[in-house]
Amino acid sequence: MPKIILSDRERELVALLAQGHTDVSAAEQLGISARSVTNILRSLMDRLGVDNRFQLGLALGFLRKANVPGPSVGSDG
Amino acid sequence: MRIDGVTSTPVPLGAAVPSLVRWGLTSDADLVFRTLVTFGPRTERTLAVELGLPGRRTAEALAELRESGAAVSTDDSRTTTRIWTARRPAAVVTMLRSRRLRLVDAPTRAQAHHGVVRALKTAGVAASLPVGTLPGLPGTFADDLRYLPSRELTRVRVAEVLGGPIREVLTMSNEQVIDAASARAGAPLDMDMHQRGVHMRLLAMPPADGDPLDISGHLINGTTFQRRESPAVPLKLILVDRRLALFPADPQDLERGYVEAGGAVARALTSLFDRHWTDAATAPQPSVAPIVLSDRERSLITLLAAGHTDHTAAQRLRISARSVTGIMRHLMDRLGVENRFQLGLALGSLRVVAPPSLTSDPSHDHDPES
Repeated sequence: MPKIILSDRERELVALLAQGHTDVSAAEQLGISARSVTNILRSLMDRLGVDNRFQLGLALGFLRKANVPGPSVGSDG
Repeated sequence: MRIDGVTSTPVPLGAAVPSLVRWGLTSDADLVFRTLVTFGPRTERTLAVELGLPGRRTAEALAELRESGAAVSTDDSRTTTRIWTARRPAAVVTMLRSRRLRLVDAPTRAQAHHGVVRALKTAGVAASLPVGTLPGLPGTFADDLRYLPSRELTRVRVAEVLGGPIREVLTMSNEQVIDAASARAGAPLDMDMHQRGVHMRLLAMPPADGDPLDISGHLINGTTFQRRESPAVPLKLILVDRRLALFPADPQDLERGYVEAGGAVARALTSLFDRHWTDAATAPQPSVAPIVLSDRERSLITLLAAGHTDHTAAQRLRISARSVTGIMRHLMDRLGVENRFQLGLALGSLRVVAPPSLTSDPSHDHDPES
């Protein structure tokens, strides 16, 4: 069973990446190194049992851990 | 050339034409509009041939442009001889923008504000709070109530309070357009509070033009800062540590200052905030548009979700690695995302597919924050 409670740091990083930030710009925004970003994501991937960013996205999306800013967001309803 | 009062003035070749997709039109309609703007009036058939667009799609695009007022045609009885002309891009954008406006007018806002104040009075929480008029004199005018008679004084007071040792700030905003001055004034303060770990919640109206781009983008919607939207925010309100409330003295004129309240009024307004905050949470969250995958897309996504690389997935599907990239690129464009991580998020939240490491048992989803 994957552990799925994100720490504050992880949550913030995931939110930034979901907005389309790159590792580097997300690292800048959080005031950490790009290497730390890689490490945080690596540990997340390990916990979720996935091997790459696409799968990580799928898992987080599936668990509703982040929203993607898509073209339909806030569409006229 | 003039049709229906629309004069065609072709723009110089290669000039920037605003994208209509942003305003809710399809990319076909946008393409046809661009062509008409750049190369001048044409018939449906010419458009289809020049753009290599199937007849049905051309017709649909033109119908859409006509419906939205972006293009007009001559009224020949035979569709084949009708000549289509685009309106000026600037005029079209103005039209589309106002069509999507969902402005709440000032009187309605004022009414909602007075409604809250009246409720506080009738509940006996703040008998001396005036409805529809200003408190007589600046300064303390009743127990726990103080009148800050100008916007500037309010700003100073807010900076003083928020700069102190506080833990939580709750804000309601019924403004749909944030003016540059308040954004400039607010951003450094927000960042400072964020650094100090102050928990902030902002409940705001959806932006006026329906543009989903987050205007409070200087803060990440995460743990210490949370933003929710509600179409019915009753008043402009700042709550500090659930014990101090600030709201405009006159909802129609912020220059006339704010009322600062403590005690029972602050408590009542805090529970009002909590109620609206919870309601905003239960409203359907913005999500990604549903998407229907082709068989090929689905097989590819399923393989990649199972942990295949582009290369092994390509081998399995007997297509080139280049095709894999192409299919993924196309999917990203359709979902409006820029990288594979975002694509994964979108497909995952649409429940298109899940990585095999995740069981479908929903009881694992215990996170209290979500």
